[in-house]
Amino acid sequence: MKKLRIGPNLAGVIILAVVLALFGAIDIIRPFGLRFSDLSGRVVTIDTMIRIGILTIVVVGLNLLMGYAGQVSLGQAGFYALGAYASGILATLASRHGMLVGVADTWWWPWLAILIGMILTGLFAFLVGKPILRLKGNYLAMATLGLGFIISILSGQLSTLTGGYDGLTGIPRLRIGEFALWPAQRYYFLVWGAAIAVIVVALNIVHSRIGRALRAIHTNETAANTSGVDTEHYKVLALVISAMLASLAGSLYAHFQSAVSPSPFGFKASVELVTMAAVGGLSSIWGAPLGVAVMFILSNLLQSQIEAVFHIRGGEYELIIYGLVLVLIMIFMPQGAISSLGAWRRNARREKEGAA
Amino acid sequence: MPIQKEPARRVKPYQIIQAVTGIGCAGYLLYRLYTVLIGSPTYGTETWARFMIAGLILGSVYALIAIGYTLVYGILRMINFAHGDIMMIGAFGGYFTLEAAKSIPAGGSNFSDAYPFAAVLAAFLAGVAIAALSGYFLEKIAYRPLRGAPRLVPLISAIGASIFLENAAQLLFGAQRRDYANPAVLTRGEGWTLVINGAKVILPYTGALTVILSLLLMVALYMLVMRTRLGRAMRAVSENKQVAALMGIDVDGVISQTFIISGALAGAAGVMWGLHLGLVYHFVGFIPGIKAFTAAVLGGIGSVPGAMLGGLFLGLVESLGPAVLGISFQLKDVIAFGILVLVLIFRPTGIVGEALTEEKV
Repeated sequence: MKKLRIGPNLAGVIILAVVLALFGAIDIIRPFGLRFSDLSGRVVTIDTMIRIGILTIVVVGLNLLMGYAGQVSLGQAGFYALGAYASGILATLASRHGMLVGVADTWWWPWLAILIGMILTGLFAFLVGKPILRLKGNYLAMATLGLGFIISILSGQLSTLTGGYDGLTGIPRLRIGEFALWPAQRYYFLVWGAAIAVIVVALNIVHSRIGRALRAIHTNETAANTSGVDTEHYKVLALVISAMLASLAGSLYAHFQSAVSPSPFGFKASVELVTMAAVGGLSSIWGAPLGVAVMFILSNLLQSQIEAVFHIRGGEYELIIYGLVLVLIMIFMPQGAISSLGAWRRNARREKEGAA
Repeated sequence: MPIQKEPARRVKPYQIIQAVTGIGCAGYLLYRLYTVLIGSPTYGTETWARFMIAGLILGSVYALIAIGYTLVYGILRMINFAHGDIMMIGAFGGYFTLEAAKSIPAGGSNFSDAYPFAAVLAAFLAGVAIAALSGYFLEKIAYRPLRGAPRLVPLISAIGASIFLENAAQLLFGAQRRDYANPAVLTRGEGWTLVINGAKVILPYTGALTVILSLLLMVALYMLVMRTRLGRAMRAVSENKQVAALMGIDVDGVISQTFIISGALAGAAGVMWGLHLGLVYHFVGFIPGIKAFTAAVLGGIGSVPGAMLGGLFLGLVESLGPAVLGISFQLKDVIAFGILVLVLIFRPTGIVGEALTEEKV
C-alpha cells in the first residue's frame, strides 16, 4: 500500500485555504472591532482580496495556456468579458427584457447562467482555437490580440444586448436559496473557494497526462507530435480550459460589481493579466496568486503614494510602473518570481555546499 | 505550418466548415458590393470620392508606420509593440515646434504664418529627430538585453515599453487632447474643391501633403534598402545574423540604425497625423500602431513594398468597408482587426510576403 504523503502542493493548498479562511473570519467575527483592512494599514481591503481571487482564476488559466502549453494569448480579457457579459445578460433577462419570468428570477438561475457562460465561452474558444492555434509565436500573439479587440469593441457597440458603453446594471447578487452571498465578507468566501478549487484542479491537470502533453508541446512541438501527442488537440484543450476559467472569473466579477461595462476588458486588461502571470512565473500554477497579489498590492500602494507625493488624483499613473516592471522582469527574471526564487535558493545551496 | 504541403488525406469536417464560411463571406461581400453600387445605391459618387480621399490619406500614414514594423521584424523577428508610441512622441515633437513657431512674432504676424514652409519643415525635423532618438534608446534599453531570449520575452518587454511610454507622456504632457497649431495656409479642412456629380468634394491641403510626403519617404526608403551600403547590410542581417557578422557587418550597429530609421518614419507619420487630424494626446499612437501592424501583416511582414501596399489597402478598407457592408462607422476597427485575424489564419505570408520558414514566425 502506498503511504499517503503530503507533498508541497497539497501543503500549499491547505496553508492557503487556512490563512485565507482566517482572514475572512476576521471580517465576519470582527474581534475587538478589528477589520481585515486594518491588518495591512488599509492597503488590502476585503474588496482587493476579492479582486485578487477573481483574477487568480483567470491567471491560473493563462498559466496553463502560456506557461505549460507555450501558447501566447494577448486576448484573454476577451474571454473574461464573455463570461461577465453572459452572466450579466442572462441574469438580467427577467428584469431588463421581461423574458423567462419565473425562471430567470429564481435564485438558481444566475448559477446556471455562470455555467452557460462557461460552456458558451469554451465553445467559442474551441471554434476560434482550431484555426488560430495553428499559428505560432508572434503571429499567435497578434491574432489573439485582434480577437480581444474585436470582443471589446463589439461589447461597446452591440448596445441592445450589452447596454453599450454605459454597460449593464442591476445584476443580482448570488444567493443559495434564501442565503445571500453578500455583503462582500461573504462573497469573499465564494470567490476564494472557487479560486482554490481552480488551483487544485489546475495542479491536477498539470500532473496528469494532459499536463505532460502540454509541457512536451512547449518544449518542442514537432518532437511531441512525432512521439504521438496529438498536439492540435491538446493546444485547443488548453485554450478551452483557460477560456472557461476566464469566463468563470468574469461571471464572478459581474456579480461582484453588480454591473458590467466594456472598459475593464480592453487590451490593457489582457496585458495586465499577462503581466501578472509573468511576474508570478509562467510555468508554475502557484505563480498565479502570487503574481496577481504582488501586482495588485504594488499598484494600490503606488497609487496612494503617487497621490500623496505629487498631489495628483484620478490618473492611472501607476501604469508607468506596470510597464517598467514588465520590462525589468523580462530582462532580469524571464522565468518569473517563483522560478527565480527557486533558482536563487538552489544557487545559494550549491555555493554553501561548495564552501563546505 | 500552413505553407507546408501536406500529404493528401481525408477532408476533415472542420475544413468543410472553413471552406463554407469562406465562400459564404465572399458571397455576402459581393452581394453587398452589388447592392451598394448597382442595386440600390446608398451613396452618390461624391460620397465615395470622399471616402476614397480619406482612406488614401489614412492609408499613407499607416504605410509609413507599417514600414517601421516590417524593418524591425525583418531583422529581429520581433514585433516592436512600442512603435506606435514612437509615432506619438514624434507627433508631440512637431506639436511643440509649431506652438513655438506660433509664439515667435515675425513678418507682421507670427513665424508659423509668415514662413509656413520653414515652420512645417522645422516641425517635421523635430518630430523625426526625437522619434528617431527614442527608437534608438528603446532598442538599447528594452530590447538589446533580450536578444536571443524566447520569442515571447521581447514581445512582453515591448508591451511594457509601450505602456511606459504612453504613461510617461501622460505624466509629462497631461491627459488632455491638444490641438495642432497648423500654419494658416495649412488650416485643417481647407483644400482644393473638386466638383463631382454637382457636389463639392474637398481635397484637403494637409491630406495632399501627407500623401505626397509619405510617398516620397517611401521611395527614399526603398532606395536606401535596395541601393545603399547600409541597406545591403540590413538585408544581410535579416537573412542571417551570424553569417552577416562573419562577413564583417557590425550587426549591432545595423540594428541600431534600423531602429533609428523606423523611428524617423514613425516620427514623420506622427507629425502628418497631427497636421491632418489635429489632435494629439498620449494615447494617439496606440491604435494607429496596431493598425499599421495589421497593414504590415496584410502586405507580408518583412517586405517593404508589402507594408506600403498593406497600409494603403487597410486605409481604404477602413474608410470604404463600413459603407460597403452597410454597418455603423463605429465598427471600422472591428473590420480592421477582423482582417488581421483572417489574414493571419488564411494567408500569414500576406499579399506579397516571402515564404515563412519556421524561424521567421
